[in-house]
Amino acid sequence: MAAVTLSGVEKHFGTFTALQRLDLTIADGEFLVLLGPSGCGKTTTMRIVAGLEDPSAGAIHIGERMVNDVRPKDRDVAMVFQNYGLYPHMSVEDNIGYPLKVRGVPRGDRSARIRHAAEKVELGPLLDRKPRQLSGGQRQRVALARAIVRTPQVFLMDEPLSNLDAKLRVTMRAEIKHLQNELGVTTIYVTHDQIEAMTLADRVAVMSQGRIQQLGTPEEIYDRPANLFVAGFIGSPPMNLISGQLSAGTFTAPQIDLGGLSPASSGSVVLGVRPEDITVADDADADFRGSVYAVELTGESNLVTVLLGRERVIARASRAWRGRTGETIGLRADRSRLHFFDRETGVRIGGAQEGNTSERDLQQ
Amino acid sequence: MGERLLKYWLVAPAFLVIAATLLYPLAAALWYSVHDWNIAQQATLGPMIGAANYARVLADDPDFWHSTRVTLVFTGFSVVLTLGLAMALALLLTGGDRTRVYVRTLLVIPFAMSPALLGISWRFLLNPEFGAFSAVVGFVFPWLKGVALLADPTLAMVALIASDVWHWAPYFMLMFIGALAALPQETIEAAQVDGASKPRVFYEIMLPQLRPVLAIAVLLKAIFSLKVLDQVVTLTNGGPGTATETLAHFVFQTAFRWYDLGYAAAVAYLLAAVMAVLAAIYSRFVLERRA
Repeated sequence: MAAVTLSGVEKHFGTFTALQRLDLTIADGEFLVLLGPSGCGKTTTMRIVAGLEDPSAGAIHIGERMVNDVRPKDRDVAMVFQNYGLYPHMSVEDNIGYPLKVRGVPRGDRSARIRHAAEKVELGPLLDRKPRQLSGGQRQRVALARAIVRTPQVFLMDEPLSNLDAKLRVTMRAEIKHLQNELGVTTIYVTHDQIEAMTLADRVAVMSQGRIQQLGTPEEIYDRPANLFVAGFIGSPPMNLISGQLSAGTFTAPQIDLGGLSPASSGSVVLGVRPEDITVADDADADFRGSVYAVELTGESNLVTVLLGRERVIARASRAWRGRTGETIGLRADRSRLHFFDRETGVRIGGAQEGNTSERDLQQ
Repeated sequence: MGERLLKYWLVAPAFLVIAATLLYPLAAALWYSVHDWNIAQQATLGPMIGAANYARVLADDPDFWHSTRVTLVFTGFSVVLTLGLAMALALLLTGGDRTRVYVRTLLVIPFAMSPALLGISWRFLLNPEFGAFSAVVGFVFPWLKGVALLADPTLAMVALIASDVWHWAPYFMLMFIGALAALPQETIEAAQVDGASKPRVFYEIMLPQLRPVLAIAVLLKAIFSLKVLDQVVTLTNGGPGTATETLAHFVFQTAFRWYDLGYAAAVAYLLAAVMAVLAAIYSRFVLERRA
């Protein structure tokens, strides 16, 4: 087990820049999730750690060892691929045992360890099967077992759950979390699914356009997004983002007039407020009023989309709430949970950085 | 006309063409093979002698067995060397960069040549007095200068095999490049990360996945080799002596040098039967077994 350090790592494919000067340290035993939309550089970052891709610049350390010129086979990492990467001509047992076989572990020793790994992911009775005889979830378990059959320095997981159906994904998510906890191996996990990122990660690195937009715990990223990209990317339904003017503690936008705010700065800003921080309110308490555009029952609550001038704002109402399309209702925003972003730069106003490192990362 | 009949009418032209070009020669050859017919002696079909031609081939013709051995030696070496070289080239030249695409195109030229022409050009190439081989190789290894390669029984076979490998390797290289590109990249990367060296990745991960393609390649190349004729005629003409007289060449000689058509037809039929059996066994036990 070891820490992983990327310093000044860049990757260019021809004229396309996949990664621009990435600095990232993953602590020993940490579960770090690289989160971002496709093409943001997250998989490239992981492949560079695995050695499947060479960086155009920068250094990669696993523990104390600089591994830039170390081939994948000698990096002592284990990887779980998006399509599992199982060897189709080998049985489940041989698949799991392959990392041991190539390292010259004697057969007897090998089968005990294969059995142990297979039991951890509940594959025991399937050892004689071929991969094509297994379901997607079972294949996923084989891939996991192959990763945990020895204790590598680092686990790398490239969207391992994306090919599973929604229900199985939730189960496997918990299993991965449990396994990582139990084994304590440093893990880098790539996903575009924010729920996976929030539930699994010790820390999340939100990536876009080859940069880390914010690095922090799931709470930090959710509660204090560092910029508009992170604000819009994290959360489902996404944060409401409303362009307007801020001056003397009042935010104004068409049909919105929100006073009594603390930020001293002024100018063109974007107000961000999460649906769960807006409630349906009586006229007396309402910050603003608009007509109901749509009501969606999610089961645990109602999502109400309200038209406010040009903007559509989503609020979360209790499940008992009933409203009709077209009806005018009042909304109240939780003042302590508002986010402001500079409209030009997209950067958070009012410090996202209490106790996390995102500002430094942004300035790379 | 009913739809039921129409479909037969639609197939009929194709069937007639196949019948005229394939079934008729096959049937005619079978018919000749049970007759004693030497066209140097008579222009019309000779007397029916039943299986006597076949009996003579199998029981009483050392030349036939000699040709069988020659053919097997040629086939063994040419299959292994062609496919080995083709795989090596495919591994080197797989990928889409410009240089590789050009080199691939250049390498395909030998395959575009007719085998008869190939034999003639190799014959010039290997000529001890003015051939390029003697000039170039003889310059590096002086003791090879002026050696008449095609006059030596073993070297003539080597030359024949080399020319065949040279001709066929590009074709199978293209086949293997296609197969390599179709391999799931993740299995190869997984093996690298799992700790396998490059040779291990090739032998333990890639090769087993290429098995169906390899099996087809072996079958095809074996059939091509078993019936090799054109280069034999133009490069060595079976010589020196009968050192490179393959079965197809033996049939050719029997029919068109000794004019013994009935006997040649019997040998040809035996060759065809052996290949058909081989192909049947092979497709049953190798092609159908899924990885």
